[in-house]
Amino acid sequence: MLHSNPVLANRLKRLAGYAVGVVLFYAPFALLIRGFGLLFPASTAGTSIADVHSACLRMPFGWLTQPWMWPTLGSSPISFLPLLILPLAAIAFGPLFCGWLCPAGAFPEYLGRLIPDRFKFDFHGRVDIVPLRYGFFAGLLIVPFVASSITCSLCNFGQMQNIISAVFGDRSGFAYFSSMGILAATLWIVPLGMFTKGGRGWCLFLCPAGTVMGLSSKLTARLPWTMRVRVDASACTGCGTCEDVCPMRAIDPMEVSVPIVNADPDADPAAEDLPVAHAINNHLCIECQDCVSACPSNALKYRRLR
Amino acid sequence: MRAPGRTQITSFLAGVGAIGLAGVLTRACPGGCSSCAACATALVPMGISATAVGAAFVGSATARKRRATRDGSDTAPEFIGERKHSGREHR
Repeated sequence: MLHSNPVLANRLKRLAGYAVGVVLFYAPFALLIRGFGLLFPASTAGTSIADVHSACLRMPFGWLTQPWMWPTLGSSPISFLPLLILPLAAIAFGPLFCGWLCPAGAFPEYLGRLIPDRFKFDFHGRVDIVPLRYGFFAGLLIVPFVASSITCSLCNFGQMQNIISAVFGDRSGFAYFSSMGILAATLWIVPLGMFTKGGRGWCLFLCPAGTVMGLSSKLTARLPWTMRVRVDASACTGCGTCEDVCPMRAIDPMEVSVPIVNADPDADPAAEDLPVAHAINNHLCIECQDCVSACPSNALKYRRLR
Repeated sequence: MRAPGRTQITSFLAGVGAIGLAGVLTRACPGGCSSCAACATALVPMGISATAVGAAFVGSATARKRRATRDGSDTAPEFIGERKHSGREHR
């Protein structure tokens, strides 16, 4: 069955990757955090409870905007490591972390597969996703100066930790819930998750780590040695299958200028007899490669530019 | 690279505004619910602001689209993305 349905096979492979993500980052396992704690006993990974908070990708965004936190930043190097490593990795490979390791992004995506698509809202083509995403990101950086830190209130990693801990019998995480936490958890799972086409509305709009990785992926996608999902315009038939399976709604049939390989730069994409290919928006693409496995003409490949 | 248009700038500002409203709620709520209703108090100005901004956003987009349809310029690049047809149909 998996042989005849390559998209399902790819999604199962990704599911295995997310299970690895749980084991690496989330309590009660948190193997990566525990390993770092053994290497650097004085860091937060060595001194606090080993869970996703010890290597949180979001907290540094809040800390950087709170001057009273600055003296303590040196004691939490592990929190800055993912924030440095992941965007650097995104330059070379694209945001593979989001597409293959992040359980918080995958949870509503896979939960949403239980809901038929006709009940879901598709942001693609209706909302200008990219500027809205950067607007949310700018808000996360600006708001702490005028109100209070919002990175933890708007956190789905912490909610994911609560869910995983609850599965293993520890429900204490739910005891301290703020209004914004309840609102964020609801938004993450229900309207932006299960009832959004692709199931990754939260990743699209409200994940600062994903935004930073998306930006570094976009800015460097034209470097010849960088690995990205790329479209071969000469093979693309414009059937739209890739657009339909993309969880991030990152594939657009109307944008034909970049990053199509072998495209004629002088060609008029609106002309009747020219091929119309799909283009991938690297601001949003998480290199999950569902499109690669879905493409009936093998026009999409995860590869170097040259 | 294209310069951001009015829709992009409005979307960006809408994002900043939405997080700003979430910041108001975060500041109001002390956490660990004790039924203090601080969130409900914060939600009233939040709701009014969000409704006003949303109405302005939708109103301006609708007016722009109507104007473009009237003067025949709805084939401009900013409206092409709104059409629901596939690449194959486009060919």
